Amino acid sequence: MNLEKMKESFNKWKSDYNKKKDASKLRQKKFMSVSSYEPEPLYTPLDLEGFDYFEKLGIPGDYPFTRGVHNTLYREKLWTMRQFAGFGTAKQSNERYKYLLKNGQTGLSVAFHLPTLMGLDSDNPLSRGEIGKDGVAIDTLADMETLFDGIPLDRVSTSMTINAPAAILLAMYIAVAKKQGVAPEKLSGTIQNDILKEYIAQKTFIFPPEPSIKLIVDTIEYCSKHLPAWNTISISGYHIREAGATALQELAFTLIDGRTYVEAAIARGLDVNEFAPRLSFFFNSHNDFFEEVAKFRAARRIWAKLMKEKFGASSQRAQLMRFHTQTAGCSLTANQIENNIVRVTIQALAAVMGGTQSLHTNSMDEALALPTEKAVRIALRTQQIIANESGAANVIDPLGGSYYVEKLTDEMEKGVMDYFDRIDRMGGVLSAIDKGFFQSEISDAAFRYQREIEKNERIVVGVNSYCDGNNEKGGGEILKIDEKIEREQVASLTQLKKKRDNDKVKSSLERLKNDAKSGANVMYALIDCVEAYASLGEMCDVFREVYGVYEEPPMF
Amino acid sequence: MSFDASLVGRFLKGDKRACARIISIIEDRRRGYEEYMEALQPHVGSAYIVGITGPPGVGKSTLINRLAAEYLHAGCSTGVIAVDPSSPFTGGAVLGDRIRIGEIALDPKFYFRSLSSRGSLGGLSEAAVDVIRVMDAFKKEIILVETVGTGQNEVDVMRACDTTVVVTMPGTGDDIQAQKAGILEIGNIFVINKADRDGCERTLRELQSMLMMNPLNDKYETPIILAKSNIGEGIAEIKAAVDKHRIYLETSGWFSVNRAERNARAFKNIMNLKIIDEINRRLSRAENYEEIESQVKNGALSPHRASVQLMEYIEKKILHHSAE
Amino acid sequence: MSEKIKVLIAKPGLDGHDRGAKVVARAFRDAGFEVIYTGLRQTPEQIVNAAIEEDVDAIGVSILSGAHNHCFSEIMNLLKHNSIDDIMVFGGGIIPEDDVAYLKSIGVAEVFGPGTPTDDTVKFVKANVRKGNE
Repeated sequence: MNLEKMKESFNKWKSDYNKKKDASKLRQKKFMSVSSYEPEPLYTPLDLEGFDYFEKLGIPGDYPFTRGVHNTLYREKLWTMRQFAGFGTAKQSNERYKYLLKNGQTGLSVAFHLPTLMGLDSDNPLSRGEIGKDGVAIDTLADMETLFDGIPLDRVSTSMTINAPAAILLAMYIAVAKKQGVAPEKLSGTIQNDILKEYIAQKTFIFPPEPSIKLIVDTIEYCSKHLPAWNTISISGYHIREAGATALQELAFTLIDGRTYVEAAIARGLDVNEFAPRLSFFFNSHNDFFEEVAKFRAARRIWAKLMKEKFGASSQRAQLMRFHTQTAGCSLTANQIENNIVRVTIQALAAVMGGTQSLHTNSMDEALALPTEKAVRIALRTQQIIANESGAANVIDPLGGSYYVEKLTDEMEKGVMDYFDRIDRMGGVLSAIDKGFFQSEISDAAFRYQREIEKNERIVVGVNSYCDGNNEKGGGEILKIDEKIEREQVASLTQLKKKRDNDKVKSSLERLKNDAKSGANVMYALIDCVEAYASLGEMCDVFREVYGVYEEPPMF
Repeated sequence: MSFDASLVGRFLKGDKRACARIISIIEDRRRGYEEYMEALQPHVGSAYIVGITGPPGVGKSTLINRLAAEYLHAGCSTGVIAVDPSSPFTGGAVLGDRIRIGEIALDPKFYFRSLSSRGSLGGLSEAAVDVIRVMDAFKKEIILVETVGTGQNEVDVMRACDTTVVVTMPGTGDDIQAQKAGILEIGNIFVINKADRDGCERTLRELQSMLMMNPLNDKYETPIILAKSNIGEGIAEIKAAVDKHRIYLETSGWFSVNRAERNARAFKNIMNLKIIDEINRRLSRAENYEEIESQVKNGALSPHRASVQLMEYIEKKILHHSAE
Repeated sequence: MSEKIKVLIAKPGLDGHDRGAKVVARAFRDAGFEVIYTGLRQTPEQIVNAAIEEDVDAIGVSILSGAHNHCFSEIMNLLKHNSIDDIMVFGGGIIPEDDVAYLKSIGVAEVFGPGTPTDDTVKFVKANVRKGNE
């Protein structure tokens, strides 16, 4: 191409454009993405001068994986349509799982109630009003046995959304399998196990960062020896975005979290080619279509470079980034909820164009309450329409080569590197958490976004514009706390604490304490504890005593 | 609002709400606040005051709450005053120090109060010093005062304390270097928190060599304590070090000297502020004040020249007038 | 020195969703209020105790976990128990209309749903607290 000619015609166009801009002929003063990024009005080959195809993109399935992790992508296998849900007691969930399995589902997804996420037993006063509410209540191995009763664990894959006490829930899962006669190496599934994003955004932390990372490396080490098919961590940007971060912040903070885990595992002496293939990621997909696609593409490229260049990963499996995506819960509006179907569609399409491995689409009424069955079905149908009717799944990385998308992918990468530099200058992720850096970056972005809406610099349909129809009622039933579940759960825990072998509980907890103090891998002691029916709260209390508890620095 | 004797009555009976209200009146410098200070004066003087300072992020709040728990456990009625910087543009502030109060929050012998600097110059330390006195009168045996950094305000607050603990953590050493001048002067006890972090040895050595520059004191050696406040390590040692410093102050006579100086300083500061306030108030009534001010603004008059003119006015009209 | 309006922003419940609480806290700060932020996972007892110790004019409770009826009635009971009638209580979060009516009947001054401009919340508090009316 003749670049000189391009420059000439671009400059002419630019001066015409600027004339209109200066004459205030443009619709808005500022044109910005959801993340307040201001793109140029036009992208041309000039933006990609010197663009090296193999360095930047490569062939799908090859380094640096910008265009995708498989050479066939969705032509061989569509992404997994995985809808996350959780409710009630172990028994209720068990019935639901059996129903789903009978209907052909092979993957289970477990949501735990808040006390379990916080390492508290159901009889703890802080758990009052929270039991079995938005997930299943697990206090001891007995609950876990009920949860998977009659479900052969060698034939299902189980994803557990659990972080601070992830090692304990994994130990329980292994113990249930043992009782079923299933060997650990036959187990497949995922624990979220990503504690750094808890300090940064979601805030369901228990212990301070250092010992928490140590626990994660314990699970990675244990799994690489005994559970080779287990996904040890799902490094999550989703919650960072939901807390108000921009797309760039989501990407940068998630990747540097991932880097931190890899460093910790290597410091333990683990082989990067062995453990890295079991790492996976979890991203958010918001409304700004192109920004999201660029984010996903940049994510793969940066991770591959990091793994290869910084950590010397030589196997492709250790270099490539697999990720799950969920559409942005924070983008849903409580007014005119049907509009949310459209938002979810755009977001889901971006995730597919970005090459996601699996996808959860939110239901339109989730801004109000638990979703109705119909809303859940529409959300799933949205994915099926994209897969089968839109044509988006026919071509690999269909936006590759777009001047805008490539430029934006490059800028994402550059922005991430800038954040890496800033965080490294602060002494790394832990020290940045200490200083409240992430928290204040996110808080600033959330506040800016809110002010843009309030000042009408940003239009959100049904919030500050196009409000006809806002008064229509919508949504499903509102969640009511069933106090019966609470009473039953507490009663069964009380009974179990009486009838178990309490000497054995005591000695196993004693061993756990010693191992935690000595720095040994605690997985072995944890399996001992759960098999003695020590409760989640009791095990976490041991950790609280040895490791301390974390409180976040106040940051605004 | 006029002086409410029943509020003081409730205060003296140990009513938390009354204490909270009186602190507000004094903190806000509401009209007649001096009467409350006066009413509490006979009850002031029995508390021991420990200042705790250090840069953000070293784990001060966690340490203070652990230390408070230690004192409560020992049966001491304990108060905490957390001084927090204010947002300078609007005068608003978000005070987040309560975040780290653990189980002790509901202990009836515990009282925690946040204090903002309110963007005002010189006012913070005076208000903090008065709030310390209110808590003292409220029969707190130990009062822990938290400040961030070592600005003049913070140093002034620390001067109002009997023992000052400086908290730092392992790191690049920048933090210590930056506050070197301030901390050497005011620190009686040094704590390296998060002592399991890399670089602890180095930070310890740096601190030791800096302390060696202090004039030799054969009666009191400034201790450096390694702590991990999130799991409670080093807290008992800090309490013991405070006790030791207290014994030193009391046996050496410095205790009463310091307190006398502190009272004198408080008096001087209050007088200074009041004198400035009063003169400014009267000055603003001078017939040509506004004109002079506008001339300064538009550059017709230099600030120096203007000040000379107004000082003459003060000399002739305010001071002489009052003397007559 | 000036007398400032003091607001306690509390975030009860075990969840960590503090985005709303923090945005509101900042809006109050920028409007010149003094905000006491208590952090996550506060019990009603801790919230009321903090309100007493800090002598605040209003308590703002951000709650998304669905336990609002339980939580607000505990707070209102504790205030009553301590004979406190000059601290205004308001709330924010996902709270269904039926429950809003109930909360108002037990003395909650106002409930701000998702999407309420922060300025509205600030204006309401300014207009309705004890100090604002003096």
